[in-house]
Amino acid sequence: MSAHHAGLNRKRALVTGAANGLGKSLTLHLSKIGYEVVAVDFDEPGLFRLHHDSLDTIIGIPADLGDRKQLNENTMRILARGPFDIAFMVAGISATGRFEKIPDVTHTMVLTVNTMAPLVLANRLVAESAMKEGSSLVFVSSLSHVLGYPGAASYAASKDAVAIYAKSVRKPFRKRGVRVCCAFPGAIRTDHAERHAPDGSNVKWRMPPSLMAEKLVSAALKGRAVYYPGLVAKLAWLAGRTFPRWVTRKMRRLIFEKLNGEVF
Amino acid sequence: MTTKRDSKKLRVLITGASDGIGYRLLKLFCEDGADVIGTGSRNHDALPADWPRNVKYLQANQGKPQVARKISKFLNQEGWDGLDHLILNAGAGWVTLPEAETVDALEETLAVNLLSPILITRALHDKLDIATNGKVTLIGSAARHGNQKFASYSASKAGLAGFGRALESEWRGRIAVQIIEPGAIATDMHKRAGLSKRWFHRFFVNPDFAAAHIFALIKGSKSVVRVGHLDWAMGFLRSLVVAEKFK
Repeated sequence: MSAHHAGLNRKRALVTGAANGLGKSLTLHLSKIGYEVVAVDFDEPGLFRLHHDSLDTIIGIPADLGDRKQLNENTMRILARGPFDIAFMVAGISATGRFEKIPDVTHTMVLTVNTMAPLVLANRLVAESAMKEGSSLVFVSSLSHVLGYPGAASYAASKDAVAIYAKSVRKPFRKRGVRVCCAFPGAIRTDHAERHAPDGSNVKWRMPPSLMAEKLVSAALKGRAVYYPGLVAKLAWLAGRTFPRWVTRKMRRLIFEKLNGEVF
Repeated sequence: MTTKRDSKKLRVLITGASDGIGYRLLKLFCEDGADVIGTGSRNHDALPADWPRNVKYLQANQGKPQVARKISKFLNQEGWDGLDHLILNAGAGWVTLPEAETVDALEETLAVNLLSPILITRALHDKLDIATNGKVTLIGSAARHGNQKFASYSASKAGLAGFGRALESEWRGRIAVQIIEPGAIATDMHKRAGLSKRWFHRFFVNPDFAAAHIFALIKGSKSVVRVGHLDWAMGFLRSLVVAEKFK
């Protein structure tokens, strides 16, 4: 039986930013629990490895979501693989350091990958009925939404925008049969997080991506609208809501003042 | 042609100044004795008839990718080596259900309201650094907490607030960053956004009054100001006490 026919009986998931970090863990976890996963990433070798190791339950779509000119075309290629039972908008990049020292092209790329791409993709997935009735659409924002993020101003902007878009579309998309969840993960134990963290920062507070993936899938399937994964994220939410200025000052001291140059 | 300027005058740049609140703020700064440059998407012929004669205008559409460089170049041509106050007011949005919003409209909303303000701030940061008390004011929106029929607009204004929050902390002690988030004002923006006239529009705030209130807030020192109807009401009461301030 071909992989295509085997896939007919499976539920179908979409994961963007699927070749590395949290996206990779989500892809592997969804595949393990029986989903056929459409994995989107610009890292073609990474997608090939995923496909190769998964006995054909992972279908790779190489696409650079930071390329604004190709965004419509890439969106159409993704939509053609639907309809989906669950979709995770994970693809994201960061740029840390002094705002003015980070080039325009990088700020633009951060906003394109982190905000424009998931908003456009979500808009088209629902408008073109590429999400099944009763499906879940998961946006991945960041704890920076409640803490602020001095030292990553454009990243903070991009993740705040995603959080409020998710909040705004929750009811209208629900009427179309699509549940919207927005997750606010803190630091994850990935190479990406390591690169953007100050030197010598403590990794024990960072959640392993495999555990984060399990928590996100579970929250989405339970129909959670807002999800702060783990105790640290929940405490950060409480602190951020209660003392917003104080936590941003703390973030400045803990991150911005310890950054050793710009990383992008 | 570059003219010699009075070095004691405040130099103010206002985006989205060809109409609405931006235009009213521009006039208030002029009356206050500042040197002002306005930018907007309209061409020169479409500017209001009473546009102040001493105020330069640059047509600069914030939906276009090169807008930040264009503005920076214009300031250099005008001989503005420093900039005391940058007011990022331009905004765009369309009222529609999120799934009915076109991709072009979504992209333009994010470009005008979020990406361009970030790039303009970066392009002009060295001029703000030169000024003794450089300040950036981001005009956000009360819609930044989310709105079903204004989803991408709300998202863009939430992004602007997140950007302002991070930058205010980064630049503390160097360049002041202020975020003002007004509620609904009775400008033409709602009409342009496709909002049909409804009974509750009667409660939208008068734009002249709103501009005077925002002008007073800009001159103040608060870094984050949310201006809802209670604030408008308090401002109105204050205006009765200090009448000349809100003429």
